[in-house]
Amino acid sequence: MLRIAMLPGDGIGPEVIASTLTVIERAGQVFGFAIATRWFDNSADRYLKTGETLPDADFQALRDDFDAILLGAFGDPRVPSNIHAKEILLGLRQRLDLYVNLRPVKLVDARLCPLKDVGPGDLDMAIVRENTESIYVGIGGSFKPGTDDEVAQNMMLTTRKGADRLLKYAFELAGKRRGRLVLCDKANAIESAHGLWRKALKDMAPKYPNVEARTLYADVAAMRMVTHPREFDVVVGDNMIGDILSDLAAALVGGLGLAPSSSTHPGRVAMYEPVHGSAPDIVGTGKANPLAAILSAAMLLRDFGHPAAADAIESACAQSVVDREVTPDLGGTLTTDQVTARIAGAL
Amino acid sequence: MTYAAPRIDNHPASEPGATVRFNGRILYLYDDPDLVRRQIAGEDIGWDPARKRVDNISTDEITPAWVCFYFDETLGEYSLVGLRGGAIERGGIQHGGFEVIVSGKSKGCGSSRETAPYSEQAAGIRLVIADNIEKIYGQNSQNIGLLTSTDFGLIPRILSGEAIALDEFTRGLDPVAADIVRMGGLFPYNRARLAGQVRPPELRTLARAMTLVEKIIARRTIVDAATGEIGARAVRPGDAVFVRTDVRFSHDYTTAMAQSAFKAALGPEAHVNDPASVYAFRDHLTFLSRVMSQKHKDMGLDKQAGLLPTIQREFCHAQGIRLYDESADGSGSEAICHNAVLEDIALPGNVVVGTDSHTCTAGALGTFAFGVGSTDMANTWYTKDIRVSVPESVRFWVTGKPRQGVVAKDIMLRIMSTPFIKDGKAIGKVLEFAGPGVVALSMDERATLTNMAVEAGATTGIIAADEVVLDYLRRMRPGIDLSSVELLRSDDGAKYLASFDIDLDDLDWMVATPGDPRNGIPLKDLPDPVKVDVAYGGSCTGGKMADMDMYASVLRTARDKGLRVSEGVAFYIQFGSQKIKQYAISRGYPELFASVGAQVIDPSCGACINAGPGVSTRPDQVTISAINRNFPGRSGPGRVYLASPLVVAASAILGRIASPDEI
Repeated sequence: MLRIAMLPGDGIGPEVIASTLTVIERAGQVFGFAIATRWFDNSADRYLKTGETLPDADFQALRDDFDAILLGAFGDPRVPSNIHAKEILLGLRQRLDLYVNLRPVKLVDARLCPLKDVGPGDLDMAIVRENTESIYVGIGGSFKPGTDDEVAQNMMLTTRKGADRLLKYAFELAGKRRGRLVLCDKANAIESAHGLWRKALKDMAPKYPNVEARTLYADVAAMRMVTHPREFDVVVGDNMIGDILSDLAAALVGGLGLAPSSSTHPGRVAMYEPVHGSAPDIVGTGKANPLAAILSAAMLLRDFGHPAAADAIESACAQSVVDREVTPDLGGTLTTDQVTARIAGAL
Repeated sequence: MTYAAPRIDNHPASEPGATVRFNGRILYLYDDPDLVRRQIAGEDIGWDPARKRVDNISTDEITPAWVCFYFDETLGEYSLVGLRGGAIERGGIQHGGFEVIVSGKSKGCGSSRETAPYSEQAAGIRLVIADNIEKIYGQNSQNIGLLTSTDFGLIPRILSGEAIALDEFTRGLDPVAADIVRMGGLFPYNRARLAGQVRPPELRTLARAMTLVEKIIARRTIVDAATGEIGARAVRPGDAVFVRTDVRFSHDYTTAMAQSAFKAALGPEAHVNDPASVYAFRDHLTFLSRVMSQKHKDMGLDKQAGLLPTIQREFCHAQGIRLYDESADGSGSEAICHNAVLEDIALPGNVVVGTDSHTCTAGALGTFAFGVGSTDMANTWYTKDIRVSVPESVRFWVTGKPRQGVVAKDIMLRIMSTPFIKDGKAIGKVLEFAGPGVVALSMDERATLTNMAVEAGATTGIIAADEVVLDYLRRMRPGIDLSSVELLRSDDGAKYLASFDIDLDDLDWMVATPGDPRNGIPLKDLPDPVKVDVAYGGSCTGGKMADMDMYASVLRTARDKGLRVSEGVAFYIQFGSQKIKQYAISRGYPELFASVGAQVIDPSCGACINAGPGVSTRPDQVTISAINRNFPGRSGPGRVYLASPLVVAASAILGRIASPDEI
């Protein structure tokens, strides 16, 4: 029994999560596994009504009672600076210490690639982003704010333990893929924080003789992703570099509408979510594209022992894209429900 | 054969805005024969949408069977001579100056014969308008450039001299069919395709688990017609592709018409593409004159039919095509096409096309084999490829061990009687036979299953090739190099439209009652004893080596018990090929058969297509037959029951339909 907590969130989140549930329940029937789900209403609505974001009771339930969490999307124009979203997402990430953010990026249709002469097979990479440290730790502040002498600073923080555990994950992933790993950093300018990554890589590489490991400055990496996308297999970066490069890579294969992700810490409840936002402007119009959420669920199924189901869902999504049997954002004319029915039916 | 239509006003036809204008007369086939007769005589009756039109004009009415011995523009003289009411006589359409012909519902229903639209076109018709157009007739029309429409609103516009946009005739068609219509037929389309000027829709199928037939199609799919590159990563049902053929064949009933179309389109000097992989057969009409009625002989049809093998012979000689002709010693055909394809020609993984519905027989070798029309054949002589809409597959998983004497024919009659097939759900599909019960069958027995796939309306049947097939090939073709043969099978997880389990443990002797091969019932369920007048064992289905062994086993037992073919029963046994005949001679079968009163006939399709000894001559006669189909009129006017060779032989001995264990 696979126990999944559903956190649909705001905007189109509930729509894409409903689609995803339809697809994985169908996959369960076809491939013979059972799913137990529970819906959590951690949304802007609830926050506006009760002031609650992620109460301890919810957190404990999520932490202790489930194998995985499936998130929809968070963000609501009625909530200033989306404080609820930050508390829920960052809260889960930090409190569960979900240090691996995995963003697989694979081109299925040349039509969706802004690069010329690049087709399916030319672009298939996995961005492994450190998810808890770097400049996003929130250490910093402003000195003399609002004056002409204002000074602002944030601390970029790398821990050896943090670098090691992420690199270990990345090396193992590369071993299961095409065996090529590249660490992207700005060690030429950020000598200490990024220098530590290089040191950790150098120390770990000999343990993985089957993986070809190298380093690239992130600016060069960004350029080569566009000019030579075939070179990339597993791309590792700290929180900031991974953040930037993963969105660049997503843009090369059709944008955030096709970008799934996972946030994991081996042995703990794992979190899966589409990268896109809550798109409040299209709520209820049937234009919400469920593919990124469905592809996130495929990652979930693969991680929890159902690789055949994951492959089948990914193939069905890819075939839908190629056939243009998709929502308008990807050049199709179908509604959310029609896309969902097509994918579920193809299993 | 002419390729007049659609005579585009402003070339090129492939570009938007092409139009077509009709200047000739319009023939309204109203339900009143007198009104038709007056139009033929030259009178203009005028268009009245409210007046009842003739519905269901079948291809039999457009070109009756006896007209089908004509194969070139002569057909134009005979167009619609079979129309009910008898209003149209020879030359009626042709000499009336008509360009448009209008009728009611279901124009072109019935047989798939291509002579029907050919005859209309040869008579000067360029546009057919009807309430609806039957599918195969419509496709045949598209292929030869005869326009069709269901829009009666065109009539006043045509009468006013308006130029009609070609796009009005392509609405609702798939992209390839629309291009074929736009270009004026399959030959112009193929010419443009080979030149890279037109392409079928881009193949968008991603890698997937595939069935055996899908795998063969994917490997043979033309990726670039201009360079000839083949091999797609995957296909799925519905994909429209062209596939490279490995074997192409036609026979005496079809070659003449195909060569006429070929020469009309490409010129008298045109050469067949790769003649080494093209075959022709003198098999269908070898013994026709022995059974042709005096009435038809008086009409000169014997002579006309006699032209068919002559033209085939000349064409094959000029093109360097291997012809399986009549044996030099006059002892029938060298082989029935389907038997020769198994024995001598096809290899596992091949794409095989033939101008015959039972081309599917070759599926027993693990080939994708299916029947095509004469126009398709003429085109594939030119392109070496064939248009395929990837069919869905249906799997029959056969397990268990049948009792002694229950054989492949019984299995197939059982499969054919399933509701799925009876309800027509297998039409256009692939029947894939698999499982231990199929693996245990010999090659000849497997061929009985694939041969009859078409009786379910299926595109073809197929069985994955294995060691049994390789052993068969080594035995039939000594010295053959099989190193390049790959034994393909369906992927795990391949999708089937449906899958059925067939258990042989409780299977009994089967018979199909008259009218349809899908009428299979256990022999013991026949309500009353069925007296038999004719017993026939032969054809591509029942004339193989294993079938000869079966006739022999029953007749040997009969002889040992002092039994003979029953009084009043004519029992014919006909070989499928000279190789089979030699096999039978080497085992002393002809003497055995003759000793109990069976008549042995040299190889040909014979009675199976109502063209040789073994046909019935009166409606009240009953035939028990080992052939593949028993549609009304198939083998004479009588009633035909289908059964296995063992049941046919036992019934011949006992004079009623009987199982072999009764002997």
